[in-house]
Amino acid sequence: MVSKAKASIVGVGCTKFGNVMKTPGIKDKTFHELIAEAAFEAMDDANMSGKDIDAFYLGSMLSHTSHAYSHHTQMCDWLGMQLKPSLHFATACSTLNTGLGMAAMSVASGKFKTVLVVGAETLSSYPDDNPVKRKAVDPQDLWYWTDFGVDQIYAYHHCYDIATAYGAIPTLSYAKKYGLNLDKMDEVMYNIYKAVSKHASLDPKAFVKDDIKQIAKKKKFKDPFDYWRSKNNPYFAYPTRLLSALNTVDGASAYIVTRAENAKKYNKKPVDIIGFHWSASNYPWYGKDATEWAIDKTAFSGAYKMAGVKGKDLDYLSVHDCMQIYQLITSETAGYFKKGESWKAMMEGRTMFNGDKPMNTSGGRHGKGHAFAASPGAETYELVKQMRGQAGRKQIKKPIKLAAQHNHGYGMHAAVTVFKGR
Amino acid sequence: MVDTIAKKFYDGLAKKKILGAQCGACKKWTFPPVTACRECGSRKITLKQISGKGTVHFYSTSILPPKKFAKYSPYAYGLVELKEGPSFMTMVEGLNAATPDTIRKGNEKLPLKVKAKVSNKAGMNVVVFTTKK
Repeated sequence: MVSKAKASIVGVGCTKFGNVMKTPGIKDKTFHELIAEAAFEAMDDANMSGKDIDAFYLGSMLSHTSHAYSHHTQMCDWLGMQLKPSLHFATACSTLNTGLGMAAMSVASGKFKTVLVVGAETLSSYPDDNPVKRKAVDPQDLWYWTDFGVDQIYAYHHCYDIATAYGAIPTLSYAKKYGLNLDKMDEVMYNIYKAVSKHASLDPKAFVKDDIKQIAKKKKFKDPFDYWRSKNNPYFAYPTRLLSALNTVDGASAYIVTRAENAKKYNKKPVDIIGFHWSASNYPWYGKDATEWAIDKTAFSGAYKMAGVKGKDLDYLSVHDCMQIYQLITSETAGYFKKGESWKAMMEGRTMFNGDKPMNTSGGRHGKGHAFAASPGAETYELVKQMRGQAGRKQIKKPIKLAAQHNHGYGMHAAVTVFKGR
Repeated sequence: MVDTIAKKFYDGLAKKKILGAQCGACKKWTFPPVTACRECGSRKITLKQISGKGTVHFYSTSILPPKKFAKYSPYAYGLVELKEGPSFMTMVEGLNAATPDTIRKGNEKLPLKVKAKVSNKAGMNVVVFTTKK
């Protein structure tokens, strides 16, 4: 039986995702202003202001680029929440998914009636000893700092290679397990990218603006698959191509959680949080079958148990896809597809917004862009908009009554939250 | 009192000894060693040399290697299952990571038996594996 909710989302906010040195809408905004923009949109969505909210939790990962780690104390002014309880938290790239459970527990405990959770990340540049003058980040420096998230006693110093660990080996393992030769696997990954880029092209806040057909056409390719296989799309770590991997971006996201019984006072269409669970694992995250991740199984089973649901009951699934192979592996772990079946669904376009098994309709960590701690909040933003019927040109036609969101946090945390519409 | 396990591991490598941890409760191995058994969580662990025998199952290489190891690029980074049970990932010598084609062909020949060895990489002694017998 589906569990009764104690906490509900009544407001969501999200900035454009892109580069604060270039992207219109976020250009020249500081880390603090990104946070305020996402939070204010969530407050407006819930018809609230800072004084109506009892506490706020601020999530971000990379202090090397934000140049901030006690920013919640700085942010109380910028959010209009002076003297309110606050904290900084992080589970890396799953941070704002973890925040959903934290906020739900906070309001269910009785301590707070309403909590704001906001996440932000600036990955493409950092303040160059001047708050309004930024310097672009060297990609190798970015990954050096990011890799502080993986086992630093042993794994990193043993020639650690994130793209192989996170992309190539799970892809090789999936192909081997289900008897797909690597040419066929490449075609599967192309079809996943068709959905990724299509969804992003329909999302006004996404980093990627064009679908694969438009991208190919601009480069004078008649067949988008020829573009996919061209030198424009090299192997990041064979057999994982660059377009199957994340785009690091800047951005912020936010949501407001209140007690379920009060939710309709603030929003006509609240979304209930009915289950959540988290799991942690040190490196390596898998054994010789790299499609079996114990942390994901643990997080899904814990969240489903709390919610009283099963994966096959879901109307919508959002999975962490910083490497798009996880659209296959994690959707099967989630029980959204049977084992070995998801690749067929991706080939048939069933996970598109207009398919019967929709997933990741804002374009995921490549299309929408990967703003580490903030990205799960952007995925919750999409999920809430879909459940309310406010997702614009990519609105899923069938009613979304039950949905789940999964995220990975380097390295490695798994967070799963289950949502119910009203 | 917690033992200086990481120091013992790296000091061991300087003497060409590769240490893992065997659990006194469940008898399973943890590699590399930490302060509790990775299988059952028991603190009754004993540092012991591993056999060094393993099997490599998959490998690849990245066009954006970590800064620290960029000078070795392209190198084969592989998933090795130790004879003692744990999985470990590190550089595997003897596997060809020069091009996508050699990686594809190389993976078609896996799994392969490999042997652990101590090697200095970017100024530190670490464990790598080799396909050489």
